[in-house]
Amino acid sequence: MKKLLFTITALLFSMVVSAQDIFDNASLHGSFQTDVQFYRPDAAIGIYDSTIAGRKIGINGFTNLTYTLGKFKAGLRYEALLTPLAGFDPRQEGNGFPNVWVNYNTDFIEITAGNFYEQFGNGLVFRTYEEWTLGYDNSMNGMRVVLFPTKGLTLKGVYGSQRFFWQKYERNNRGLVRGADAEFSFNDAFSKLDEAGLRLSVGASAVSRYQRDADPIYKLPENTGAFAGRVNLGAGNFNFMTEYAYKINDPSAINQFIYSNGQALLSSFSYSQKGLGVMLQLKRVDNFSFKSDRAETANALDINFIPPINRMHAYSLTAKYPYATQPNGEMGMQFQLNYKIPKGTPLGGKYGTGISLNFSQVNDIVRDTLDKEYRGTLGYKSDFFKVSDHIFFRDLNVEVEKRFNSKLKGVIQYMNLLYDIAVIEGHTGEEAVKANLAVADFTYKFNSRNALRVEAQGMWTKQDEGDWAALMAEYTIAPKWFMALSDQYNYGNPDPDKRNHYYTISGGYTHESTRIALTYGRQYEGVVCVGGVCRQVPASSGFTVTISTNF
Amino acid sequence: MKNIFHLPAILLLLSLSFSGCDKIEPPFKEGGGGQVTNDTRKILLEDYTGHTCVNCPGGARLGHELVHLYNGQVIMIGVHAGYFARPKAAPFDADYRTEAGTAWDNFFGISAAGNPMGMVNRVNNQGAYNVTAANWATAVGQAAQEKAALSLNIQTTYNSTSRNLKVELESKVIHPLDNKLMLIACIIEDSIVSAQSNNDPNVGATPTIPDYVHRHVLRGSINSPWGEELAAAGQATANATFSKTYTLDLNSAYNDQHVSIVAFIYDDTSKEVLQVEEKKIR
Amino acid sequence: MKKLLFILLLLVPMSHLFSQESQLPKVNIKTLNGQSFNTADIKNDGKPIILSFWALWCKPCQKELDAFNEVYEDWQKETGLKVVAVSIDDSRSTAKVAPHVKGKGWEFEVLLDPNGDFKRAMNVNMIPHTFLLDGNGKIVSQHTAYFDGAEQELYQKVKKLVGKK
Repeated sequence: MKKLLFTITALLFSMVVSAQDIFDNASLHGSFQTDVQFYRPDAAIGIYDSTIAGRKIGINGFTNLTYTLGKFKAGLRYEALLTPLAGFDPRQEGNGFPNVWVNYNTDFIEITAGNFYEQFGNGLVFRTYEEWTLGYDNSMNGMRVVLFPTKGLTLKGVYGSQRFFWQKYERNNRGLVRGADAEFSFNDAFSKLDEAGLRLSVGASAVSRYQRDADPIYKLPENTGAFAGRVNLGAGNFNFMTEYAYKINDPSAINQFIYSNGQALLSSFSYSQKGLGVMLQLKRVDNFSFKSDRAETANALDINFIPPINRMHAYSLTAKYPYATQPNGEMGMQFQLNYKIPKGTPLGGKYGTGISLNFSQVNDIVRDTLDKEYRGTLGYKSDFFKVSDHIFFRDLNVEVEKRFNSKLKGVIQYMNLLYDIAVIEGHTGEEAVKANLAVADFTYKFNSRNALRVEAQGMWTKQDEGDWAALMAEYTIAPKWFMALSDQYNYGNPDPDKRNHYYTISGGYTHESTRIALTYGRQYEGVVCVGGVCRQVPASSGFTVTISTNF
Repeated sequence: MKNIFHLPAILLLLSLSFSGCDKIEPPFKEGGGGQVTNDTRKILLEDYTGHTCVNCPGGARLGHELVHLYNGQVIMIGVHAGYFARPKAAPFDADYRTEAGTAWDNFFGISAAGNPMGMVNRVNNQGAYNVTAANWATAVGQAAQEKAALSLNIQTTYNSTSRNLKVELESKVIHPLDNKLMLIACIIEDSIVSAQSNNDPNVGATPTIPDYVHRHVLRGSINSPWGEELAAAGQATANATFSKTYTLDLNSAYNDQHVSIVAFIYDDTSKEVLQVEEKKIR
Repeated sequence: MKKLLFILLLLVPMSHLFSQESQLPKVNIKTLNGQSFNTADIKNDGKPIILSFWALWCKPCQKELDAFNEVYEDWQKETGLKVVAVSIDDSRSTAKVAPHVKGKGWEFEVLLDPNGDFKRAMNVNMIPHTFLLDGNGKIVSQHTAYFDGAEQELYQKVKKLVGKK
């Protein structure tokens, strides 16, 4: 009897612990962020009570939750933009669960049902992603299957409809997207390549969009296909990557309803070794906007992603004139050199000095218009290798980074910019902006916890708003506190009434992954007329509170 | 064993490539609208625009193409509202904004989504009323297939010396309607010449067309921005008739040769426009 | 014989508690060379790992990784820890990451997450976001934002982990 009891107890115990063990593999993680802005009238920068029109508070917030149980995962995102912050598309106003998904993941197959994000190659024919700071989310709502049939081969298949703000998919209110991608990595399949120091992988994708033709004026193709092929080749310190994409006739609002096919090419060569990195990138885009809704002109419903190949800037003035890809046509190049002067040498100093050089230029393509009528015709012919004389964008950056002693280090940057504001921001008729900029960013550590960072910037130009100067001082007490004061002063504006100070005072507290920040000040305005639509991003003034956490 | 997956993968990609696209051969344009009778449901196309909006002439051109294509079934009005309609330094010192236009723009959230932007019969798509210019053709095509629930007739009597205008509106119900119906009567002035920003060389000079012809400009509502009640809920039974009369003195700034009255009836609950009519006063 | 069976029965469930399986989500991303890499393979032989999300355009991230790089050799000698830096730069910058990392002379392992799949799976919203993982791949602590000197406090936590073992 005792033995039986003992056996049963032992069995039950092991069962209970095993059952708990299944749930030991279970976890719930998530994140939360909310931004609240209080707007106040500010006559100096043109904000009156009528501009605010009663919308005194803007609140953006979202929460992500992921539940993991062994090979299964389920997640959702709740968003509430009531009302969206200034600068966000007003159609984002709403609340609900725009993102819900379930995922099953094994070594052979991975399935996602619900909303998902995916990228084929570099994204030239398919990329769904989200960037909440820009209010961008083109997630696919459908199914995604990934197969790993043999070592080195990855097959992906997707289908669904894309997110369009809060509008649910209803029959014919936008297009449907389906796609497939195959990637083969020779290194994973054949280990001999690793030994030879070679790396090779190839990939191919095909994506198609279906949208009904209910247009009484044009005969529109209901199924539009785009294809891409890519190669990634590496040998030792060298790397070469190229992707070519082709799109069959896709008359849309962006390309003014022409019936010509589109092409895109992205290539890069790079060499990297310890202390030295060199990179050259080339790009050609010809009629390559690809959206779920051919009539959409806003920054939404893009099926693909054409990467801009110029440097992303990290300071407020250097980032004032950012380049935006022109999907209708551009020829671009970018060259970058990173070098670290070794420590101990006369130029390098005690700690070494970092030098970075970056040059990029984007021109228009050459077009031979076929029909003066343009809309509803084959549009134009464009020679693949010809580059137009019209420069959309050009920038040259030289950056030197040095640590002087254990307390002081800094960065100095010089930038020269040519920015065709008429094309990039749609300010038709305005002269291209030619500017010289300089930035000095120094950090001084008082002791192991306290540091002061001072940033001084200047922009000198005769166009658009004229000269700017910016100064920022940030005091940090690691690891929790920061306080900052900053001002951007448009002292060179041709209109004396517009020579404003855009000041902000901010401070915050960070504990592990929870962050609370307060900012008070003025935000700059903008007018953008791209994609066939003109939009005004209003200036704003007031308090902003940001709270975010992770669990 | 490994290789059996390569073949289906290639076949899948190939099959997608052949079935996934339609290649259209020229000609790329097609037909048009039908005949207009008394029972036709006319379509109200509202173009929210502004004289400093560089993309707006392109949008207006699209709208006119539709008006032309549909032989009188589409009635277009240009509502100047929002940031790009604000008067600025000369030559953009004209002010075509109206109390009604601004009220509609704010309520339906049109210019906030960009200009040019419009509405077709104020149809609500899951909370969004705005239709981008490139979608006007499709939206009009769909609306053109709807049947009229009521007819609308406008009679005008105008004295060019005293500028006194009498507007008589009569509506007859064809299919009964349950909700409350509202009627708005607007003054539209056509062919106003003043500067317009432009970025489309096919439409005119860039960046400014100094003598742009602004078509069908909304000058105001005769009976308040949201109109007057035409029929209370449940009153619109089959064959019922309703009428309204308005008298006013036409503003001296308007060129009466180009003035017309555009009146439309809408469902007060859904805001959808059920019938619209246009009549020149001279 | 029966006693042996009982002991074995009791030991079987206990073995799960000493699992060496990583607790990080399994996501397919890429190495710095563009080769495929599964995040389940982020391991350090039972020693701690610092996992940091960064991007070329994020200045505080650059400062944090520079700070790690300056003391990496010493930290490795003392605790055997490993730093894994995951770049969330998208395809506009993918080709620039390797030249930048090598040009700066960063010694640690860098991974590429161009579509943010790993970043989303780890619930990262703002960068820099740095996790400290123990020898079993379990998240011991995490912090967002970087202020000069914060790496010292992180290192204290690493030492505690190693000291514990």
